Amino acid sequence: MSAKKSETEKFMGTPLEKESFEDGSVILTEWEPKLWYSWSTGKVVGKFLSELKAGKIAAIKCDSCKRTLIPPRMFCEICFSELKDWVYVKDTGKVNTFVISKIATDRSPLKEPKIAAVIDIDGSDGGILHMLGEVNPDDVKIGMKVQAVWKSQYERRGEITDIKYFKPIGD
Amino acid sequence: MAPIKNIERKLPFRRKRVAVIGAGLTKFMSRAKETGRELAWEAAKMALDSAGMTLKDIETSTMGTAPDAFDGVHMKGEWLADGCGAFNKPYMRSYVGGGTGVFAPIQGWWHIASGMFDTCLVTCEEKMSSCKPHPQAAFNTIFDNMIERQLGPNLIWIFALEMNRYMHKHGITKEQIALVSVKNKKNAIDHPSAQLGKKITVEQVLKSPVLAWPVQLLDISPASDGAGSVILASEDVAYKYTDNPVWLDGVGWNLDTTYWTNRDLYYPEYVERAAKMAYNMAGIKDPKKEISFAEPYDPFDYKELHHMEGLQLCGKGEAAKLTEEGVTQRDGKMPICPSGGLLGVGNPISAAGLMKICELFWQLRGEAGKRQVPNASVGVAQAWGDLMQVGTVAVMRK
Amino acid sequence: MTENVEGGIPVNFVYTAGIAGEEFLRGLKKGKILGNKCKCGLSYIPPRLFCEDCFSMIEKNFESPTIGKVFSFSVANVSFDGEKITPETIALIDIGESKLMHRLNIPGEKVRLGMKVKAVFKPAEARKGSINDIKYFEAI
Repeated sequence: MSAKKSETEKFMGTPLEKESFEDGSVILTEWEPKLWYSWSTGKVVGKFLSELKAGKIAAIKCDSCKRTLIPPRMFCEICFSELKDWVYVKDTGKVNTFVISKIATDRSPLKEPKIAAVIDIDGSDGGILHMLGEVNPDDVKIGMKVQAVWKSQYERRGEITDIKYFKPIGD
Repeated sequence: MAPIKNIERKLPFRRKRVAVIGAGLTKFMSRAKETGRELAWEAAKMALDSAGMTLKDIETSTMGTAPDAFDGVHMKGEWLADGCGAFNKPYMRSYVGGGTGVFAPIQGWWHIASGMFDTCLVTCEEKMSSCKPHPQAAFNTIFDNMIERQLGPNLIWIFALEMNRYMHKHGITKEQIALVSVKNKKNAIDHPSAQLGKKITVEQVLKSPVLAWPVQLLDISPASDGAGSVILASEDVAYKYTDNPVWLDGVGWNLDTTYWTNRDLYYPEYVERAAKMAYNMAGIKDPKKEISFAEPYDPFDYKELHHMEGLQLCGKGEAAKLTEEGVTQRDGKMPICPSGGLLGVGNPISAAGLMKICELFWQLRGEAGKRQVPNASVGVAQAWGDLMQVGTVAVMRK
Repeated sequence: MTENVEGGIPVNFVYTAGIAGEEFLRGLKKGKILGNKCKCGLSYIPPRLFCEDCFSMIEKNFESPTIGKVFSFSVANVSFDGEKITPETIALIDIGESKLMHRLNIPGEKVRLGMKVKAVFKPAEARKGSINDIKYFEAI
């Protein structure tokens, strides 16, 4: 039994220290993929983004499920019906949950922390991910009322960043 | 929550009982010298050796591994196939994020339960060290390409958002959650594959660097390279290979919507649905009483608590208290993650869940050494992944 | 209407060659083409840690001849991005125990299937442990 065990141990894997990736003791091959995508926004998200350019937040209704959906979608994932009923919603909402990030997408440290939140948009049954601004990280609370701060109409391009961030508004 | 349909429906087809008869697990490491293919073979070879089998005894192979963006290898399932013993055999590969480690054995389960095959080699592998500057950058693609990526998000944001909501809803503190990290890293000291087995304190967790509040460095499992493998056999042939098969009696899997900002993240409904499906199949009516120990998915410490509740092992919001009371320690009434979990052993995305299946196998056979839980008779393993979406659950018994 | 959104995946990759692959690349650095043979009879170039057929570990390497025959070939006229390039002949070369893909220093119209070719290595100081340590295969 012990002979079998040591036989097996040689298949446990060969861990390397960080230095081996840097000092040439292990031959490494590097490759940078050239991957670039151009995504069609489809009928629904395309319209949502165009409405952002116009300074408005557009949602879509599912009448059978009685839900007003944001982000808008072509079909309801619960009842599978096609959705066509658009409606404008206010650009205010409540913080459902938030994060104070000290790292960028690639895990490198940020100079200034960024605050992101899931914001439940008033008048809808949904929320979106966006940033919070004009607020101290220590003052952010779940349930806080917030309002969108938009770029000027000349800067807006039909992107989610046409909204700069959401800022707290008093009760 | 939308009504759970079909959970209580009996499964009318005649199915074979499925046994787990062998298991193998490599070390989980920050960086391995082996290629992914070699890692997969090492795990598969150890599993075969543990059951006294050769590749000739294997009829089919199923595999779980993450997509190309992680490893930079195209058609990764195909590339890994020979390391999974799939050469010239019927072969299937799948990926459901971190849920894969329990989903690949579920795939293997239906290959055998259907009566189509008698033996199946299940392998899961991940080599995250290939991805630079950090595998998290590849996870950028998890965010919506049209309305979320432009905000510069990091994968950890989603966990932080979920953790914050969970803490807020139940009034749970970071100190309570940190106890899970302390427990699991300590448990992992006794696991031969562990990457991060270590005695740490709650204070060390709370003083570790903040990555994205409320998530701090010691709340998280590491990115790892590693592979695991189990052998499944039908009841017709299991005893040919071992006197001590462990039965994979219940499987469940469930997926929630990608519109994650429309869900209340404090509770994983999809884990509940997957768990009920598995419990129903295994004939478990009262999991709190009938499950001897559990291996819920713990990529972050709060996730263990989150998933304990989804697995119906305690009520909503109760998991933190049970942890404080020591109920979830190895010698407690409901041991949770006796292996050391992802927090202690490591997190090669697809293979981590399989580590839990291996743990159930060894515990139920009394072969877990220093990690052995007394009176282990029925265990549940659960994995989770995607955009806070998928629950995969397996119930195993002696 | 906003019709398109663009983006990429911000990653690059660093690969280890593996237990067996590392030996192959180090062999190339020394001017050798290594392979290995399983006890069940199957041979592999580059060498492999395990046999895909019988699953056993393969431990001993052999040194392959650097002379072979052209098994198949093609001429590439465009790059990955579809840009026109100076035509390059790529071949699958049978070097006895297995086949290797590499460049031929022979214009496409002069290549014949079965013709004998030989590996030409870069000078020792220029080799790095890469498949490109072989400059190309040339006719003999």
